[in-house]
Amino acid sequence: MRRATGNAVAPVMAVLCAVALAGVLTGCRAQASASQPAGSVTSPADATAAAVSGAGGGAGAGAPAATGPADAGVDSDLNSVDGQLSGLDSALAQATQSPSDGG
Amino acid sequence: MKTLTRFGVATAATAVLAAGVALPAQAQTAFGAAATTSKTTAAAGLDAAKALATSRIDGRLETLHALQLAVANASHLTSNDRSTLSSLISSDISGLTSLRGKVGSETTVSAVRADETTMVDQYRVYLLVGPKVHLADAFDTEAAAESTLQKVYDKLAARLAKQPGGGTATEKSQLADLQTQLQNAQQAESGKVATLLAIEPGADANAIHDALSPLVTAAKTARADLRKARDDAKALRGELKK
Repeated sequence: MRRATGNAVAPVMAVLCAVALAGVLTGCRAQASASQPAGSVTSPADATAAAVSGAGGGAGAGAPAATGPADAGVDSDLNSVDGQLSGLDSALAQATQSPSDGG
Repeated sequence: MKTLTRFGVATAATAVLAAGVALPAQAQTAFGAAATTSKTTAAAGLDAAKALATSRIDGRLETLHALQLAVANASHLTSNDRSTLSSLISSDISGLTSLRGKVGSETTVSAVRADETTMVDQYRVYLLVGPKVHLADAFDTEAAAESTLQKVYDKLAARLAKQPGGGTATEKSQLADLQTQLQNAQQAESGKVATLLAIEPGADANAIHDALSPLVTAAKTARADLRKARDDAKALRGELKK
C-alpha cells in the first residue's frame, strides 16, 4: 500500500518542484531587470558600446550615436555660432541703412 | 461881398494847410508800418532758421545717445573698439550740444546756415558715426564667430581622426572646407576695424561713402564665408551622429 502511494506521489512532486524552480528563476530575473535604471544597457555588448560612447570617442566600429560631453560641446558651440551670425545680420543691416538729413 | 470872399479864402487856406500837415503824417505812418512788417518778417525768418537747425541737431543728439547704448550693449565689441567708439560718441555729443547753444544765440540767418554746415561736415553722425558703430560690431562679431568655429573645427577633427581611416571621403571634405571657409572669413575681416575707425568726417560725403563701401563688402564676404563654415560643421556633425 505504501509503495503504491509513493509511486503515485513521486511524479506529482517532481512536477511541482520543477514549476517552483522555474517560478523562482523568473522572479529573480525580473527583479534584476527592474533594479536597473531606465535606458541602461542589459547586455555586456551594449555596456561596452555605451562605455565607448560615454568616453566621448564614439569612434569604435559600430558605435551608436554619440551623446557624450564632447558632442554636447560641439552642439553648444554651433548654437553660439548661430546666435553670433544672427547678431551679425542685424549689425550689418543697421550699418547699411541710408543716411538721412544731409549725412 | 468882400466879407464873404475873405471868408472863402480863409477857409481854403485852412484846408490847404490842414491837408499839408495831414498828408505827410499819413505817409509817415504808412512807411513806419512797412518797416515794422519787414523787421518782423526778418525776425520770424531767423527764428524759423534757428528752430530748424536746432531740430536737426537734436535728431543727431538722439541718434548719438542711441549709438551710445548700442556700444554699451554690443557683447562682441573688443574693449579697444568699445573705448574708441565711446570716446567718439561722447565727444560728438559734447560738440553738438555746444553748437546747439551757438545756434540759439545767432543774430543772422546766414550764421545759422553756417552752423548747420558745421553740424553736418564736422560730425557726419548719420553717414559715418552710425556705420562706424554697427560695422565695428559686425567685424568683432565675425571675429568671435571665427573663434567659436575654430573650436568646433578642432573638436570635429579630433573625432574624425578616431574614425577608421580618418573618416569617410565626404567627412574629410566637409572638414577641409570648414577650415578653408574659416580662413577666407579671417582674411576678409582682418584689420578692417582699424581702417574703419580711422575714417574722419569732412565736407566730401562721396569720399566717406567710398571709404566705407569696401568695408561693408568685406563684412558681407566674411559673413558668407562664416555661414558656409557653419553649414560644413553642421553637416559633418550630422554625419558623425549617424
